Amino acid sequence: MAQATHRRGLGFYLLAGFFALFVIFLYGPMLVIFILSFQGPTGGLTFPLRGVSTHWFGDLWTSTRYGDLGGAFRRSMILGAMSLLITAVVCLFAGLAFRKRFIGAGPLFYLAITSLVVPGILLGLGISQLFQLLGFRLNWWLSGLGAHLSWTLPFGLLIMFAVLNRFDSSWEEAARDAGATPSQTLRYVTVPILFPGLIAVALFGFTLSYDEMPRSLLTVGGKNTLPIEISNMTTNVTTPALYAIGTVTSVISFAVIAAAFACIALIQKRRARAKRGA
Amino acid sequence: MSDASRIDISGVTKLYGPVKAVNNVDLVIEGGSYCCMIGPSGCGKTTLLRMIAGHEAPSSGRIAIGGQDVTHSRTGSRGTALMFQNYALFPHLSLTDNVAFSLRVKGEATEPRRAKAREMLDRVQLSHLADRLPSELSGGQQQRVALARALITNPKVLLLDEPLSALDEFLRLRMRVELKRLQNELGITFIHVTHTQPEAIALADQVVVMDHGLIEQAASPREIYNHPHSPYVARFMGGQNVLAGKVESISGDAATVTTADGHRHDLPSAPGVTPGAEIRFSVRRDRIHILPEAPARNGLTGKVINTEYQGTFVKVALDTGTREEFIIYMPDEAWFARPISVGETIHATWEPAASHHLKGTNNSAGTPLED
Repeated sequence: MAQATHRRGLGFYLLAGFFALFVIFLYGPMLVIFILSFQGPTGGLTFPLRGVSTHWFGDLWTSTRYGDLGGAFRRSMILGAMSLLITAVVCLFAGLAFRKRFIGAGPLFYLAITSLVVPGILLGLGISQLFQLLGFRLNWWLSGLGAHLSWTLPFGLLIMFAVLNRFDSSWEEAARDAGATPSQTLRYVTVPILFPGLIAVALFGFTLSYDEMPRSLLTVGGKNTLPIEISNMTTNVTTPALYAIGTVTSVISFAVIAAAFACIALIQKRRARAKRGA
Repeated sequence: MSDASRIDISGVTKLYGPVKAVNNVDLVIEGGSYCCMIGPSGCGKTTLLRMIAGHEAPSSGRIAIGGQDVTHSRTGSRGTALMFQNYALFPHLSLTDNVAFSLRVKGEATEPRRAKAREMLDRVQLSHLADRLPSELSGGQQQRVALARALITNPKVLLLDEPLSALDEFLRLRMRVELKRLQNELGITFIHVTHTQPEAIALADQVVVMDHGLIEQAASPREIYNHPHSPYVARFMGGQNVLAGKVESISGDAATVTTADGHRHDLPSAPGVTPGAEIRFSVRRDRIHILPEAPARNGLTGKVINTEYQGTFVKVALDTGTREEFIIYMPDEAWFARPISVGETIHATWEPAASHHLKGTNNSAGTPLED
């Protein structure tokens, strides 16, 4: 109590100022892009705003100057969804497997983590070479997906370890003791208890894939994903439409995260209702 | 019923790498009896329990339940139910669904299995909380749910892994009574792992004292308490002083022993000892009297280092020059008639019948390690 009412010293204000700077640095750029995307029809890439409009959002969809934005968006969403699903399923089972100290568990883990450390552009180059050597044509849904998984899987695995840290294996033993088969234990006990954590893993699978660029550059083949498309835009588009696409993609990312939180909240509500005896 | 729930353990060993957690154990647990396995942490009691339940497979040996070899049969199909130390209630299921879980995996339809589960919850006086989640219950309530979940499978053998250790003192005593009542009512075998001596003494028909993967003694509580097999059992179960000496002479089964400080003691029954042998014997703490002068035999002299009032008796600790304290339980009347203060030198004596020869050689201190 005495501590809380004590007069704040210089250190507090210095640190608070530093923290404020940090927050501005973190969210300032995003905020600037967000504001500038509502630039009037005659406005340019910089301040001041010449009126406020949604002109550049409309321009994104109607103009042909921006390449295949719609197609790139669709491809990125599908890739994200595939990464989400594969990451969640593979990381669940990989996480469960790593609980047992099977032979080669250590080296396998480090091999998996290595692909987080290797520069993405090099990994992309390697993947593209490998696929061509094997006689596959580079395609966003094939070599591109592979490149994305090399990024989302190790990440998801690390999160899965954290999730499993709080998982008590005596729950599985209790299920076994009650006569459950391994598949029943998985369906009725392990997955339901881990489900909120699995949503987090899946979410990372999606967002990491959705904005992935270095690994994608050389692996997606003829058709671009959204980050590559936007990156191209920065070099040849000089209108606030660039900011509009930034705002749209950020909103989609936030929407996905919000949907995941809503999903978790819904599960908790359902469990609460089960508890009240519905 | 009783033969169907009898357990035969023969030559069971469990290795963890080079460590023998359970070392060639033979044990028979009568059907329908209450068996308590007791020992310090790491003595192998929980491993033995988990092998009976089928959560661990023995490295060698054989386990039979009701005459049927279940050494390698599947958990959940051998007629056992295990109640976990931390209860392991499913956090995402209501109490009803927790209890109904084993019926669910057997494929029973939702309504009948929930009805049965509610019946079982009623039996442990929790039907009013049937739709709650485990996290909303107190420790004692969680334990009763775990009990209901174990019993709904109609097990032949109920295995309890330190079931009372997570409860406070008051609840522990209440649940102890409850467990005993339940066992009488159901007539099935209970195997209860504990590291608390009064719990084992109060509950068990058969007490199994373990140390370092071995069974030191398996007998009735009275036998364990009055005729401990080894110095370890005597110290671990409490209520005894352990003394050491050299056999001076024998006549028939009786022996005379001299301790290092020259006191002579009569052992009424010490078959198989030879003159000159170093042996140990125990003396019941509550059979010792105080004398004004040093007794000629069956007694000793020591300096009081501590006195503790216990309500119905007073615990007096003596320093007799050995490393082990010598403890006397004095009736409170005797003590208050002539209080003894710390630092005083007193003389103690006992009838030869209070001395018991300790045949076993396990001489470890037997202080239960805290979990």
